[in-house]
Amino acid sequence: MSVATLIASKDGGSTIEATVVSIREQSDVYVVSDGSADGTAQAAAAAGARVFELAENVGKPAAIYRAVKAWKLTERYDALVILDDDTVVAPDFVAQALAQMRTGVSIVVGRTITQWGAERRWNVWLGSRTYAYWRYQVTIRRAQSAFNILNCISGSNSVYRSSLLDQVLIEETPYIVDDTYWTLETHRRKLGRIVYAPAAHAYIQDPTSFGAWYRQNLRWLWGTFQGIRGHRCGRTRSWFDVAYVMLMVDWALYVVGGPVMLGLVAASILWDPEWAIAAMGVGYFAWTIPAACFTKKWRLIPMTPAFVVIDWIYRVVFIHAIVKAIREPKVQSCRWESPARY
Amino acid sequence: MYGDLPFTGSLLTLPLIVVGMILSLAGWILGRGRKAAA
Repeated sequence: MSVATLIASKDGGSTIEATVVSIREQSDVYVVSDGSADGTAQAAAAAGARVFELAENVGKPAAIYRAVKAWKLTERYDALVILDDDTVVAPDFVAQALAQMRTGVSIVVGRTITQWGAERRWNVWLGSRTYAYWRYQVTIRRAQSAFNILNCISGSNSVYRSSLLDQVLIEETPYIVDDTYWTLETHRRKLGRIVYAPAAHAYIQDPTSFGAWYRQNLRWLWGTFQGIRGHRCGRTRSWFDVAYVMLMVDWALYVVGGPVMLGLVAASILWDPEWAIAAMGVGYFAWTIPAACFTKKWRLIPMTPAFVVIDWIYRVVFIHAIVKAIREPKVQSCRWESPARY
Repeated sequence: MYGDLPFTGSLLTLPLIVVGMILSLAGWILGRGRKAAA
């Protein structure tokens, strides 16, 4: 199977070299500079990529669309790896992903791992993501993959069959998260299976500050809710919709259930506050301790209280995103600012 | 449930979480076996 890698980059001059270098031995590499003003194109070319420069910033899906058309990538290759400009993949990423690209599979999603170096060892936002990715991928994502009900892929590190891209790539996706649109189109139009390849490792950059964390989560959740509304998720008879409804009810319980429980505890109607706090602590540590073992990031254990706080803030993001999706169910242009790179 | 990602679940998706954990554990054990064999 012939494979090319496509990376859309807006001012990724500081990271694009490492991204290109990590994959250039595994496939041909193409970079589309999306109106960058920081030498992204030169850095990518120097690292060995073929480069296409857009004079102005058009947003990731439009940049990808234009690059695919300009280079005729879907005609020349059987599959495309689409990476973010700050993703670094393992030396066997493509081989591991292609091993899962069996007949009937259209998208293979790699394992997402946070780049969490020693210089930011106590950054709770990176710790939170390390933990969240681990927990999500060993539970929900793995099972969703087995039943072909993945509701979300990783735009930073996935592999797409060219025949699928020919059908779902459009210049302007109606949702602020482009891969949400591709995922839902794939399910709705029955364009093939979406599977997870846990052995295909990709290291990505995550937000390192509260503001960047909030903005990124808000965009992801806003895009998720736009997709639910636009693609009528949960309103068609399919296993994908059944699973999505269960997930949505879970989210509702999460957002509402937490505050309700806290209210009950505060009023001491059901339990002693000490008992409830202890129970909650046990619940969190029951996850963070195995997460620390499997990711070999022991700092996750002392960081657990911070994750409890972040979890509360995340409920606010949820509500904010629902309101945003009601007010802006579609976008005209899929442009956003990436979190600061490190 | 722990958030920070727009895709996690807990109570109603518990069967998926359990299936996912079993598959992950099986994958991990198989991977170790393959490494040992190699």
